[in-house]
Amino acid sequence: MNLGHPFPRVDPDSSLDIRERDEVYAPSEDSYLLLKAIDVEGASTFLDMGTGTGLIAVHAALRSGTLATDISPFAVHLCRENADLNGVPVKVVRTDLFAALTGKFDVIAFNPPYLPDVGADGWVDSAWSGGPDGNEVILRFLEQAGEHLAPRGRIFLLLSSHNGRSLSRAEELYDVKLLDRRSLFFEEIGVYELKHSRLSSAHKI
Amino acid sequence: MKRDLMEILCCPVCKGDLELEVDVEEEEILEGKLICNSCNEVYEIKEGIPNLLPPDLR
Repeated sequence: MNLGHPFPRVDPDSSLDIRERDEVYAPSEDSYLLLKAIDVEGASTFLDMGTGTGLIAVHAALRSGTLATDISPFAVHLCRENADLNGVPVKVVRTDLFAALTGKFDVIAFNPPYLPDVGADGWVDSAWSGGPDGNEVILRFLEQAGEHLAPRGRIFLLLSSHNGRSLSRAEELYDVKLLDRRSLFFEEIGVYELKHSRLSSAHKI
Repeated sequence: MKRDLMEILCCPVCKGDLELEVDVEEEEILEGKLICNSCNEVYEIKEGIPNLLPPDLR
């Protein structure tokens, strides 16, 4: 618990044990940058999309009812294993983005596949490959996410410097705020908070 | 999966309501099927996890 911060943060908790396996994207700098930026203030429902190992879902489940999804069969099983290992209740569903979901969520976290596809193959590659220019999956997510975001809900989305196209679309659809960013060797990554646009009446109650 | 998960799931093909068929249930449903009431597509639940990918993505 970060007492110096006005919001309940989902801080990395070293007492949690998150197992990895070869077929699943291992938590990396992007995962931790996203994890540290998420706040769950007032959130009773949390969706961790593309959960991978379940790192973010397991942390979130300490504070909110949490659903974790992934398209990879290895990821959904590993996430469940990690939730059981840490004794936290995470609901797990294998789905392509929001295709099988009807609910609305107070917080949606997504560390998407954001790199340009350079011959991706297999489930572990689906964790980073975002289509020809790295934006395909994020753009689909942005089109669908608004319908599944509670009226005062917040999306925490990781984008890299490859994702200018996605950021532009996000700014058309949502109110967007940059929360944190970090330079890596070959790119810059940032965490953005997206809320329903105040200009749009589409999602008013 | 727990039964209350049904409240937020739908068929990924046609968005229809799903019906639950349980084969093995302990504290939660471990093995079973979710069947779409509208298009009749069948989705399996294995080791407690429903696989709601449409047939072409499985």
